Amino acid sequence: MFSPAAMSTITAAFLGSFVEVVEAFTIVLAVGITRSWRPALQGTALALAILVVLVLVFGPLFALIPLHLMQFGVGVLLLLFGMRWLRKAILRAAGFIPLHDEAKAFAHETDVLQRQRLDKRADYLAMIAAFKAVLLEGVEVVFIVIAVGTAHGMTAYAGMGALAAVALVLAIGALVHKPLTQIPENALKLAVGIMLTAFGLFWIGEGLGADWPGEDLILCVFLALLASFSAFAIKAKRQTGGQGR
Amino acid sequence: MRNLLEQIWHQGMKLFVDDGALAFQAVLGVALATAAVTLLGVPALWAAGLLVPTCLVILWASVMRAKKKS
Repeated sequence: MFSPAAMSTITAAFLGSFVEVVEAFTIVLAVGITRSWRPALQGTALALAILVVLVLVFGPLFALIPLHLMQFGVGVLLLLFGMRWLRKAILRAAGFIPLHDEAKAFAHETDVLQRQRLDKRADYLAMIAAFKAVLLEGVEVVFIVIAVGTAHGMTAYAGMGALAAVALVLAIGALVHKPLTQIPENALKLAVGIMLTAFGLFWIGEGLGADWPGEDLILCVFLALLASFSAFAIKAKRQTGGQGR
Repeated sequence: MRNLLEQIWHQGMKLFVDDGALAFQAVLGVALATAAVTLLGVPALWAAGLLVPTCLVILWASVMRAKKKS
C-alpha cells in the first residue's frame, strides 16, 4: 500500500504531466496529419533525447545538495509553480481568462503548416514545430517529476505517474486520432495547482526544520484547505462580474 | 536557434512567474519566515505554519486584482 506522500506524489506527477502531454500531443498530431508523420516523429524523438540528457545531467546533481537545503529550494519552486497554476485555474474557472482550447490550438498549428507547405523547408519547419512543442511541454513535465519526487526520494514514483500520463494520452490519441478536446483541462490544472502548492508549503516547512504534526498527513490538511480556498475564490471572483479591481 | 533558446528561457521563467507581484510576495514571505527562524529563533513550525495563511492572502489578493481577458 502507498503512503499518503507516495500517493500524492504519483497523483501530482500524473495529473501535471497529463495536462502538458495533451498540449504537446495536439501540436504533434497537427504536424503528423497536416504534413506527415516523419517530421512529427523526428521532432518528438529529438526533443525526448534532449529531455533524457537534461534528466541524466541534472538528476545526479541533486544528490550532492544537502537534504534540508534541497527540500527548502524545491519547496520554494513548487510553491511558485503551484500558486501560478492555481491562480490561472481559479481565473479560468471564474471566466476571467479564456479556457485553453485544444481544438483552437490544433486549428492554429494546422493553418501555420498549411501556409508553409510550399516552402522547400516545409518538412524541416514541421519537424521544428513538433520538436518545440515536445521540448517546451516536456521541460515542465521534467520539472514536475523532479520537484515532486526528489525532496523525499520518490522520483521513481513521480516518474511512474508521468509515464502513466504519457501512455494514457498516447492510447487515447491513437484511438480518437484528433485533439483531446474533451479533457477537463482546467479542472486538472486546478487539482495540480492545489497539490503542488501543498507540496511546496510542506517542503519549505521541512527545509526550515519544522516537525509537522501528523508528518505526511498534514498534506491532507493543506489539500483540503487549498481546495476550500479555491472554491471560495472562484465564487467570489465570479461575483465581481469581470470588473477586476 | 537563438529564437528557440529564448523561447526555452521564457518558458522556464513562465513556469514560476505569471503575476510578478504574486511571485515577489511569495518569495518575500518565505524569506521572512526563514529570517524569523534563523535570526530570531522563532520555532520552525510556527514560521512554516504562518506561511500557509500568508500564501493564501497573497494568492487571494492576486486573484482579486486580476482583470478580465477576452
